[in-house]
Amino acid sequence: MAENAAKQNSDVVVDKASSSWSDLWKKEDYWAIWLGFLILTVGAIIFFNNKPADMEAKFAKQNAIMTEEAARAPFKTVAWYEAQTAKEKIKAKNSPVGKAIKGFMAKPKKWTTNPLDAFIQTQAQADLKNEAAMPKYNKAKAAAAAAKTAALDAQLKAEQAGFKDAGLNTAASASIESWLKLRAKESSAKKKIKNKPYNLIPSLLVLMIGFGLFFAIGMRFIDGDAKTFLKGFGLVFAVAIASYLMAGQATMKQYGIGYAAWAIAIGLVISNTIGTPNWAKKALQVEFFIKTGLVLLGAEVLFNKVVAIGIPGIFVAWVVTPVVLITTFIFGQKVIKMPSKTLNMVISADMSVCGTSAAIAAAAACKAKKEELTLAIGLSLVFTSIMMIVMPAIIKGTGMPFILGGAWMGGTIDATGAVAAAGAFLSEKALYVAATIKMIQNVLIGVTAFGIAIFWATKVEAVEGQKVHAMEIWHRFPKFVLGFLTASVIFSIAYSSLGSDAGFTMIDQGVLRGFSRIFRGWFFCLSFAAIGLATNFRELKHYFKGGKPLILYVCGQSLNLCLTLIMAYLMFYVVFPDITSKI
Amino acid sequence: MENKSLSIRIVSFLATCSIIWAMVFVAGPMLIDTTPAFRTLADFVVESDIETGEFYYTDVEIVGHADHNARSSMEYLPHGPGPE
Repeated sequence: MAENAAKQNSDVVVDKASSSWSDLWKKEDYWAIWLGFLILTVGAIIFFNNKPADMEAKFAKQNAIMTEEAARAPFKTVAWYEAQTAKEKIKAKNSPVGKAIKGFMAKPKKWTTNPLDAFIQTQAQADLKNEAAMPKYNKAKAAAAAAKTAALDAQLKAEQAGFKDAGLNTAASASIESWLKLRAKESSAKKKIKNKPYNLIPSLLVLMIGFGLFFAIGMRFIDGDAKTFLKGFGLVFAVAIASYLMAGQATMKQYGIGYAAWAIAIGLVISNTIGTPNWAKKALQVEFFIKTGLVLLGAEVLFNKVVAIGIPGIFVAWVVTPVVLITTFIFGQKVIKMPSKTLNMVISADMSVCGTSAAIAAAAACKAKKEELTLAIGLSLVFTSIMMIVMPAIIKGTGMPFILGGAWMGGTIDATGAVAAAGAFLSEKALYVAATIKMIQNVLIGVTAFGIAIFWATKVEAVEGQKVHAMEIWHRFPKFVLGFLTASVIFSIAYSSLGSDAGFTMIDQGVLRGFSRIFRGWFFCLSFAAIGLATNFRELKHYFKGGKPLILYVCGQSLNLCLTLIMAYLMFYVVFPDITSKI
Repeated sequence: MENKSLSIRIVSFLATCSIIWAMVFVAGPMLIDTTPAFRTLADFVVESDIETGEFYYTDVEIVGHADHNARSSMEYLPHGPGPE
C-alpha cells in the first residue's frame, strides 16, 4: 500500500513555477510595466504643465449657472445644457502641445474610394471638401438655431406657468431634446467644413522607427536579439497601417469593422497565402505589444466612472455582467464541454464584459492562445455589427422607452463605438445612458482581469491535490496585471482628487485621450497584426470544431440580453424612476 | 503554405485580396443599399462621424461627453418646482 502511494506520488508532475530578481529586466511582463509607465509619466508631465488657462474660474462660472438652473426648473433647461457644453469644451488635449501630439501620431484618415486620401490631402482638396460641405452646414446651423428658439419658447411657457403644468414641462423637455439632436447635427456638419491639408507619410515613418526602437530596448534585455526584431518590425508596422487604412474606409465604418479585425485579417491573409517571411518572425511579439498596451489601458480604467449615472448604472453593469460572465463560463465547461478552458473564458469575458478590450485582458490574464483570442474577437465583431443594426430597430419598433433601450444596448452590445452609434441613432438621452453604461462596463475589465489571473493561478494551473502556497500564486501570477492595476489606481486617485470637471479636462481629455490612448491603440494594433501574421488557418479551424464557440456566444449573449433588459427596467423604471425622469 | 511554389502563393494572395476588395466595394455597399434599416443607420454613422469600429470608451469622443453629461446630471439634478 505504502509502495503504491509512493509510486503514485512519483507519477504526479509537480509543477513548480519560479521567480527571480532578474525577471525585473528579463521578462516581458516587467518590461511592459516599465515601458507603459514611462509613457504615462511623460504624458502626465506634458499635460500637467500645459493646463488650459483659467480652467478653475471657467468651471466655477458654469457650475454656478447649472446650480441655479437645477433649482429653477424640474428639467434640464437650455441654459443648463449650454453651461455643460461650455465645460466640455475645456480640454487639455486642445492645447497647442496636445494638438501637435495628435497631428504627429495620427493614423490614416477616412477615405471612400481612393486609399491615398487616407495619407495625403492637398490644400485644394481640403478647400473643395469644405466648399461642398458648406451648404449642409448652413442648413444644419439654421435648423439648430430655429430649434433653440422653439425650445426657449416652450421653456418660457412652462416657466410662466411656474413649472406647475406637467404638460408644458413635458413639451419643453421634448423641445429641448429636439434642439440637442439638431445641435449635434450642426456640430458634425461643422467638422466637415474644417478640412485641412495633411501628409502623414513622414510622421508614419518616424513612428515606425520610434516604436521599433522603443520595443527593441525591451527585446535587447528579454531576448538579447534586438537587431532581428527590428528587421521584421517594418512588416508588422506595415500591416498595422494597412489595418488602420481599411478601418477608415467609409463602408467599413458603417459596418463598425475596426482596426483590430482588419489587423488580424490582413495578417492572416499574408501568413496563409504568401507566408510570413522568416526574417519577420522575431518581430511577432504578440504578448509584449499586448501587455504594454494593457498597462496603458489600466490608466483608462478609472474607478470613479462607475458612479457616473448613479445606482441604476452600477446595477445594470456591475451586477448583470459578472453573473453572465460566471454563468456562461460554467455553462461552457459543464454543458457545452468546451475543449479549452482558456477559450471558454475569453469568449465569456468578451461577450459579457466589453468585447475586444475584455477579450485582450482576459486572454493575457489566463494565458490564452492567440488563435483563441482571434476567434473571440471574430465572434464579437460579427455580433456587434448585427446588434448595432437590429437593436435600435427593435427598440423603435416596440416603442420601448429610449432610456431603457439605451441601457439595454449599453449593457449588451460589445464594442463601445457601436453602442455610441446605436444610442445616438435613437436620441441624445439614449446615447448618454447607453454610452455611460458601456463605460462603466469597460471599467469592469480591471476587476475581471485580476479575478481571472488569480483564478488561473490558484485553481486552473494548480495540479489537482497539490496545495497552492502564496509564493506559488505569486510565481504564476501574470505580473503585467500589477502594472495594469497600479496604473488604474494611480489615475483613479488623480481623477478623484482633481474633481469631476478638472479630472475630465486634465486626465480624461488630457493625459489619456491626448496621449496614452494613442500609444495604446498603436500597440494593440501591432499585437493584432502580429497575431494574424503568426496564425495558421488550420489551427484556427480546429478551435471551431462542432461550432461550440458559436453556441457558447449565442447562449451567453441571449442570457445577457434577457438579464440586462430586466435589470435595466427594474432599475430605471421601478426602483429609481426619479433619476430616469431627470436624465 | 511554405511548401507551395511562390507563384501559387502569390496567386492565392491576389485571389484573397480580390475577394476582400469585392466585399468592401461591392457586397458591403450592396447589403447596405438593400436593407432599409441598415441604410438609415449607415447614413447616420456617416453624418455623425461616430467611431463605430473602436472598442474602448476612451476611443470614442462622444462617450466622453456622455459621461460628463451623466455626471453633471447627478451633481446638478434638476429639483425646481414641479406639478403638485
